[in-house]
Amino acid sequence: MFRRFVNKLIFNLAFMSACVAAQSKLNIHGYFSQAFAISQGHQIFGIPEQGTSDYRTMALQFRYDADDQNLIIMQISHERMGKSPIMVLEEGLKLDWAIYQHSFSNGLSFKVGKIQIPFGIFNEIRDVGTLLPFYRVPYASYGEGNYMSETINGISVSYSFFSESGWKIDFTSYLGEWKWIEWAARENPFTQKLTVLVETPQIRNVFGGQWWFNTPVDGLRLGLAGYHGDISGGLSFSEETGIGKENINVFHFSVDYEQTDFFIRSEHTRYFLKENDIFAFSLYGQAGYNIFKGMWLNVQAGTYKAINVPIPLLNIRSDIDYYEDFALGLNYFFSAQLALKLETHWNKSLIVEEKMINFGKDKPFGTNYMILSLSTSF
Amino acid sequence: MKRLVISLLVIIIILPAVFTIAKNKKGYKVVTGTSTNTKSIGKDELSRIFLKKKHKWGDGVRIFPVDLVESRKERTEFSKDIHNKKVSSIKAYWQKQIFTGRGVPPPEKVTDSEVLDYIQQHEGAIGYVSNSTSIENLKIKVITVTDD
Repeated sequence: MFRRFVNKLIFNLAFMSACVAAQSKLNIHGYFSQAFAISQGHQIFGIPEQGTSDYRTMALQFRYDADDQNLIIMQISHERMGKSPIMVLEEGLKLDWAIYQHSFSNGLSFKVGKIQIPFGIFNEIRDVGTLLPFYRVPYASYGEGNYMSETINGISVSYSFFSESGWKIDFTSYLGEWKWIEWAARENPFTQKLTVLVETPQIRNVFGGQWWFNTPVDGLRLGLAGYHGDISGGLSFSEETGIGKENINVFHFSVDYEQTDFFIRSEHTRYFLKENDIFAFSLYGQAGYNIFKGMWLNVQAGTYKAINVPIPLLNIRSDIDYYEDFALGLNYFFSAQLALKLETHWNKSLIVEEKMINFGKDKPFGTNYMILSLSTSF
Repeated sequence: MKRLVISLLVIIIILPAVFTIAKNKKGYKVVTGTSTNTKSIGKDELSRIFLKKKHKWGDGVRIFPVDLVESRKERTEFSKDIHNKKVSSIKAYWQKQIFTGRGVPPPEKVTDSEVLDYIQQHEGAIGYVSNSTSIENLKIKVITVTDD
């Protein structure tokens, strides 16, 4: 009954957008994920121990193909992440991305506006639940508002080499600026009350790119991405409270092998903060197998470590085991556009949200959390 | 006796061939407008057209692929045969294209007559319909699909 209702709803939405599209060059698409999440041990990713259903992502995309060469796309979105500190910056409805794209007849195209950043397998589709094995893209490589941005204010250029061959190479380069979100809990020494500070460091003069090397083996591709930028402000990079302005260089490697009934992929990111001689890296692996019909079993393991991090309060430098996560998930696809997911995570990290973290002193905190979500797209 | 042996031999030789032909007979046929300068097409090229990786015919005319909806058995057969993938994988491919802003899928039609109407209205259009659907008296022709 419920499945019928949802299928009907999807059909009606698709039908409505098709009607609009038939009358003009406008295409309307969207996605929606609603979750219930609960944690044990600590609060993490906005998931409290008592559970929350204030956990969702949704977006509506409006695409206008003026002609073969000119295109405008605007996507608006809404996101809730339970009790996450970064929710203070989240607007009810926000402009997700908006671009004007011009394509030349030789295959070269450029975009201007608030552009999705091509970075690894998931950055551009990080909230499209029906395309993700788990509710969230791997934190190890993609962060949650930090380390990587979803969009850049600037321009990008794309071109495909050897597009007729099995060794097709897709290249995109971008230029511009973005903001990170970072937060930290501070404890009042007298009242022991926590105050959460949320700041947005600026990443300026960003220059980056993504290469995808396709292979004649169907479903196998290799990726190489990276960017350079100047970070300032926020909690970590202000002259007053942090380590000051920094030059960041990030390199990212991806391997992705996807077949109809299974996938296996891994991504590795290396971060270099030149001025303070800090190095960090992340690595995750993910695999999934189609057990029967629409049922998939997925596993994921990821880690993030920072090396040689200055701890001003202790006047030392320390290596920090920042994040480790192992996840197991069971997904059922009613159709390609409707999925129910149940996942459980075993996490050891320093990103728990209900306590002040003493870097250099505290060991990673163990947290288990579970997410049940329903995702659809059209 | 001699007749019986010959008959048996004929049956033994011909029957498997008949079964093979029946097995290979597709439930769909690929169709395009009569103005399109193509008589046959390779599976790989056809796949690239329906994934919008190839945009123009040899004479420069823009290609407009048109699909059938997911519930049609010809869609399942076409996806397996031409893309070597399940329809769900093709749908996932299009979701990636949509939400990365790279493209939108071909229009999906419920009935064969809608596909045929679309092809007649769009120069350079290509689609597929059930093998049993008549195209007589229409400005539409069948294209042979080859194994590249």
